[in-house]
Amino acid sequence: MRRLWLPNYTYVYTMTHIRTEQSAAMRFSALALARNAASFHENWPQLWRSPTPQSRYDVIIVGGGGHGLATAYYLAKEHGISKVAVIERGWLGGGNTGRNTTVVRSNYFYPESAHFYDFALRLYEGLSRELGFNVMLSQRGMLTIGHSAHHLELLARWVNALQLNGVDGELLNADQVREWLPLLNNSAAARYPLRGGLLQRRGGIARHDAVAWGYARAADALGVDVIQNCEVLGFIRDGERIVGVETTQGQLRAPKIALAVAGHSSVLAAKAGFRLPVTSYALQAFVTEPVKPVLSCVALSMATGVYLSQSDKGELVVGGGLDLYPSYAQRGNLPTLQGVVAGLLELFPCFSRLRLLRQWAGIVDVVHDSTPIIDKAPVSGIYLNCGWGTGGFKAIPGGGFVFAHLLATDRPHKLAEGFTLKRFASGALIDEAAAAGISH
Amino acid sequence: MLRIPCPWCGPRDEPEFRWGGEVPLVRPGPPQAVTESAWAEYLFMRDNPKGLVRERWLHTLGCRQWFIVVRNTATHEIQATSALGDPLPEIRP
Amino acid sequence: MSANAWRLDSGGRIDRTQRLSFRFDGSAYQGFAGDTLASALLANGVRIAGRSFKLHRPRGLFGSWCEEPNTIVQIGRGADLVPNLKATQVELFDGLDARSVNCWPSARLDVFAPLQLLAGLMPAGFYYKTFMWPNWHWFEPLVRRAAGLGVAPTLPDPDRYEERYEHCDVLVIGGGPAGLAAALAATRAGARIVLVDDRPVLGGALQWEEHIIDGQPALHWVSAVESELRAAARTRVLQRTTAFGCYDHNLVALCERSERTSPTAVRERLWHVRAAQVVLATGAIERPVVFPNNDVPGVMLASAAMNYAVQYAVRPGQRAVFVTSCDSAYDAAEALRARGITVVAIVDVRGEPGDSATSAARAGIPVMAGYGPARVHGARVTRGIEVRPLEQGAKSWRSDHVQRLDCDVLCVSGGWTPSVHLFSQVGGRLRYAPERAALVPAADLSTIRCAGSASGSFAVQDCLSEGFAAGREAAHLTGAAAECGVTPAALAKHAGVAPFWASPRDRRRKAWVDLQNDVTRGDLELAVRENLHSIEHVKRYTTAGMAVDQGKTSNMNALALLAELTGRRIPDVGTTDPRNVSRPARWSVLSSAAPHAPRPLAHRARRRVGRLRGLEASRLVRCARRFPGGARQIREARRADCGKPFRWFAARQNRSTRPRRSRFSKPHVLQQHAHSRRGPSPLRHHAQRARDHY
Ligand SMILES: Cc1cc2nc3c(=O)[nH]c(=O)nc-3n(C[C@H](O)[C@H](O)[C@H](O)COP(=O)(O)OP(=O)(O)OC[C@H]3O[C@@H](n4cnc5c(N)ncnc54)[C@H](O)[C@@H]3O)c2cc1C
Ligand SMILES: [Zn+2]
Repeated sequence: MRRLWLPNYTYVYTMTHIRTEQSAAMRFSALALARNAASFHENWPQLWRSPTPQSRYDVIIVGGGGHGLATAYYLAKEHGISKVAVIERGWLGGGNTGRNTTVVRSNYFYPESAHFYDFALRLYEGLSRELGFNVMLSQRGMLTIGHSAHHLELLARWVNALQLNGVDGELLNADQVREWLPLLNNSAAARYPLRGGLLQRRGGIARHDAVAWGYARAADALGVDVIQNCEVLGFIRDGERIVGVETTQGQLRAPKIALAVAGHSSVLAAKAGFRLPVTSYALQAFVTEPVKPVLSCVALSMATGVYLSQSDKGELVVGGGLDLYPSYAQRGNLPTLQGVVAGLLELFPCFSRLRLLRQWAGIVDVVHDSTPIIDKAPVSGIYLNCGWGTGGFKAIPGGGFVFAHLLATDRPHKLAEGFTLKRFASGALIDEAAAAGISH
Repeated sequence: MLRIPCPWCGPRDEPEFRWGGEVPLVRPGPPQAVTESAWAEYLFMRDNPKGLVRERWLHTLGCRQWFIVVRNTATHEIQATSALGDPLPEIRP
Repeated sequence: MSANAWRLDSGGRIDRTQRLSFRFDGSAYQGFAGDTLASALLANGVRIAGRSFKLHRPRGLFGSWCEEPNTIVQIGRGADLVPNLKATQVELFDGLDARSVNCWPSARLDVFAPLQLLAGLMPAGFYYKTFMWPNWHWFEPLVRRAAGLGVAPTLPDPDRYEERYEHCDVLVIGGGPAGLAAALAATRAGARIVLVDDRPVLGGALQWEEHIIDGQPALHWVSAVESELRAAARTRVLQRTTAFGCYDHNLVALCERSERTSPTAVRERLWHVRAAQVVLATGAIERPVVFPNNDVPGVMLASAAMNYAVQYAVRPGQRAVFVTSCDSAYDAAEALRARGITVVAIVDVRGEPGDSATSAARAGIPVMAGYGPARVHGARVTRGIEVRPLEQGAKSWRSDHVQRLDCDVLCVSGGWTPSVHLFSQVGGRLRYAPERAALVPAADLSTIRCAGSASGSFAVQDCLSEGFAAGREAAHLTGAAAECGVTPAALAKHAGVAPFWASPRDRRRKAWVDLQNDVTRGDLELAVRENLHSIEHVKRYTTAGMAVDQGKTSNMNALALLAELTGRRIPDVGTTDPRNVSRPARWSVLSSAAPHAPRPLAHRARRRVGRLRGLEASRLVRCARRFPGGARQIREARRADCGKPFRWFAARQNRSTRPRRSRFSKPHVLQQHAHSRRGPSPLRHHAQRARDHY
């Protein structure tokens, strides 16, 4: 066991090695690839089983996105609870986890969020080797670009907060930003002139599918049942308590039901008889055709909220807005596309001839203060992991870790003490609008 | 791209409008008698249904009137609109 | 090789009096007006025209339009650079300078070609299994440099773009037989219609397939219909226009490209068309068959071979073999034979191919019924094919008897895949029709109907009648009910097809499913072996269908193979979730906010004036929508609403002697102004709203 030091805050134990427990799954490596090439790759084992649902579990996790799968993994690994089922309506990672723009960073403003997201980022840093699955974490730097004196003020304040919270972050002047982003619109006539920026070097991107698959594989190896094509239709009650779920594959029972269904949280909450401070919006994303490397970091414009990065395959991945009305339709929309592209071309006029290849949307669970909810639900037997809104991919390892703690011990993890439902009544909101209220 | 029939101006494109939340949303009172949880309920808790919902919209770049829309959040179909003050439109399942 | 050695002596719809010079990978070539870059390359005998994405395998022309997976080029230099175009869609112009992408120094001679030798180490998703030690950061820069296709331009875009709005009763997408018939019916019914087609000429497949319609050759019929449509007052015909996205409430986004006439012309135009009814007559795309070595240059779609021979008078090869499971390939074989190309044989996987085979045999083309392709010979060009008799049902080989046929072009046709991307985008459901070996629309939507090959009716006579009926019905629904006349009729052709996706498995040889992304049948098998059964998982794990051709020739085969590998029926596998857009569209036309960067002032002013003229009409439309009270009101509205900013803007423009940063210097802001006098810029508005929201 290794001890992770989180400045100013707490000790967290993490990162034990799972090598020994992973006997079921073949270890992935270049050597294994070479060995299997000789047998025409015909001997690779399954990434995970397709178990038949059992009627009883210790914990049922609803939602096979990153958060659900990570929760299952940490429940099994950190708390030894492996009679766990993850039930997913469609295919693993088919929700926002497989639809997001994959930015990971921890430059949040308030201590609660900064510590939490930095913890998540630390877990990310060891994740490929922990899971034995390359999640392609690319810490290429996350650069927030300021365009006015006001932006610079805000950035300075932000950097101060980061430093107080022990998160890396540095202020760049315009010339330094230009070095990072030579293609940025640099002319005197630019609508959004370049004034400076905030760089988090540890920020970057990771491969979204790999995060979901890596956790699923590792959780499966620890005995978790990962069940796909199984939709929760309703809850089974025993008096006031929820004791199980009705699914398309029959009834499953467990004393603890964990919801990690992102944009669908309100739908399931309504079935269990309570309401949430959540509104579901369609967050839009776009990619271009692949080109040779032109962008070395993740760039975000403070003026337009548009951000972009280049995937390892060469596509420019762009985000920057959600349709500003509730939606459960995972459809790309034109007005947001046009607004985001207009903003993008203000920043990078030379990308004008690149072509949009795909556009889509994911249904994100937005709460008023852009801070997650990791808490027990008002109805007993149900536990909540939601409110990630536009930016929960970066939180997946952390979210899973603290949620597993809550499920196992019935007490909030130290890092998630502020992420309660109570805060909406008490007023102790953690308003991360500036750092999280952007679309990633 | 939604096409919303404004009761005053006729059908217009989505970018002219602004969404204004679910209705009905009743403000609890009197202030001194409102509990914290009732207030939180009013301020933050939402139905946020997947399916038909009544909501308020503002025709920002048009007549600047608020009005009511019955919309399906899963298909984006718009079932009815009505002016504020008129009886709330029925939701037809 | 002498210029245009592969050009036929006569025929084709090219202008032989107009020679055009162009360059490809540094060498100079010549073509004719009417050529695409692809047809001109083929005419010049260029066989290796591209390299694959992952393994740098040599690849040749495979399709003839948007389905092309192999020949990706970038054209122009400096500020005029455009990356990632399909050579099949680039209209040839004098001085065109094209380079293949993702290879060096040229497609023919690529220093990265030895990567193929490592193919065994790079199965689907290999990067998830390695590069973890010591750290992904050590490998990422290399991987990034190896990936990517073309080079992104680094200079501001000198082109002009604009944006327009249109409202109509019926929008017909596709100008082939079904689309033309639909447009004809709707026009006659008296509806206000827009017909869009993404090719430079109308007619779709009629440009190269030979049919008799209403007693005349198909192309005569096409021009008669075209004249009737162009003469109709309420009909607008847009060519070179791609419908790339269908959005809520019948909004269809179109991208219109200009001919390359003058450098100051508007390069592309975005149309927002709000239609009461939409007829999708987007046709179908031919599907290849999966068998070992099926990626060697010289293997191409039968329809593409026919297209090159008939429309562009280019010989795709000297000796052709056809591999097919459907009747349309017989027409292609006949067309090639009629143009002096030796058709060695038609290898039909069906045991009893029926009438088409009989007539082909009568015409002297050998038909090998019940045979399947075992593998292609040749590495850099096709030298021949091995065929083997198939068991009934075509699932396994009947005997070991292998026969080799020598050929230099292998035309494949495994049936047709309806282009239903737009239909799926708006939630249209598909159903598997085994008799057509295709996923077809299950039922029309209330405002969107499919007609012709897009709905799985591949025979031309059905396209015409379905199209005509769809056009008439759509017009009727909008209240236009005038008499439409008689349905155009064509001499019936056979369009039989049997499902055949792949030859029996050959463990030692690679059989390609997705050509651009180098996805093989073995990759699909690996994914299934690793328990990835959802089509979405398989797509993401193997990257099948995720290339810039958007899987137009590979998605259906991948789906069918997955069904077979997992022992499911095709409908149970389902499709991937449909994501806009159906064709790649330039950023610039989407934002229509060009110019973004400072240019020489004179140039800039000229452009603005040009734009203003272009804007006039769209303003009118906007005003019309705000004041639905009639023409007088529109005029008033225009005076009141547009007049002021227009004058104001013009005055300002006269003063404009230095680049400025005002938000009013952007033409699209002007549009916004036409729209609401005090409206903020769309962008600010957006940002503002986003801020308010949080
Ligand atoms: C376009 C876009 C871009 C984004 N960009 C970023 C970014 O750059 N950086 C970042 O950090 N975050 C980003 N996010 C946010 C991030 O993707 C999400 O916050 C995160 O993936 C949420 O993970 P999750 O596991 O909670 O939810 P999901 O991945 O959505 O998983 C929820 C799962 O629950 C399942 N489910 C729902 N209802 C039921 C039911 N009744 N029964 C069974 N299963 C059910 C769903 O099918 C789904 O698979 C983005 C999101 C989107 C949409
Ligand atoms: Zn109005």
